[in-house]
Amino acid sequence: MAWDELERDRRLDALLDTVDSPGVSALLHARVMATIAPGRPSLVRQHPWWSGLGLVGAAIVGAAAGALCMSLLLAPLSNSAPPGSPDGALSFRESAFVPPTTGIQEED
Amino acid sequence: MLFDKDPDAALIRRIAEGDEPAAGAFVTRKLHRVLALAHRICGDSTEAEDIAQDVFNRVWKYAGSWKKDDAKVDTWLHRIVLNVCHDRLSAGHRWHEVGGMELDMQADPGPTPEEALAGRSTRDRVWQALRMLPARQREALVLTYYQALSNAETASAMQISVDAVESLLARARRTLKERLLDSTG
Repeated sequence: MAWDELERDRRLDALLDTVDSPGVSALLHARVMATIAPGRPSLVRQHPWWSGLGLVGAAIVGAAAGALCMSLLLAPLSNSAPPGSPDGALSFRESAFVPPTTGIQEED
Repeated sequence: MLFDKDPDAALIRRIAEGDEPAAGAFVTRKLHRVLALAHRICGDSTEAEDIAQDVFNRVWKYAGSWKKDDAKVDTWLHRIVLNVCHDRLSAGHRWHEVGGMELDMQADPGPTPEEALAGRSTRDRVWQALRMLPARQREALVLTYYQALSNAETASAMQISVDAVESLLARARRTLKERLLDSTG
């Protein structure tokens, strides 16, 4: 029985061998060769760690830009009092703002 | 290490670095295998050539993602061929179901498979019997028998277990024997 099955397998293999596949034409070879992209791949593909380096660089530039903006915004506040004025000694939390109602009450 | 035993590993690494001569050598080395697999899966010569072109486009794109510990380059390449075939099928190409090519079973859905095979040349009968197999059984048979992949490599290419491959192969061969041997005596 096992011998019969082996014989059937051999016959099936012989039948399967009759199915050939097409050869590669010169035209197809040229078509596929034409798909090869000229030039080198991107730096990220060659060195994946470059993408991480780019992120770190972007973070540093962003932090520097933020610090610059903050310094430009805060500069008028810190320099609003003239030199020698007592307001110049105020801390940032102690506002030198005087409500206008004070002046109105004095006129009355 | 697979990398040490893989004759294509150095080539694919050079391709990932943009080495054009390496890409040309890879085409010369692998195009016939890619074309043969595509043709036996889809059954149509023109379609197989389009598939081959798509496959190499993906190789250029994804060469950098090949990992030596995952699969041999040849197995990885076979997986790409299957993926392209599946993608084209889902995009509307109907050759998986109808058999495509020169033998169009859908033109006469009446006869049984055995009746359909009668009266054809041996080669056409085998072709048609292969075409009538379920797609996954056909893929397993083509990968192991015609492409000479091991069961483990076939499992990797098909992204299934080795047990599943063996089951598919057993069913495919049993069906083929019934249709090709038993029907003719």
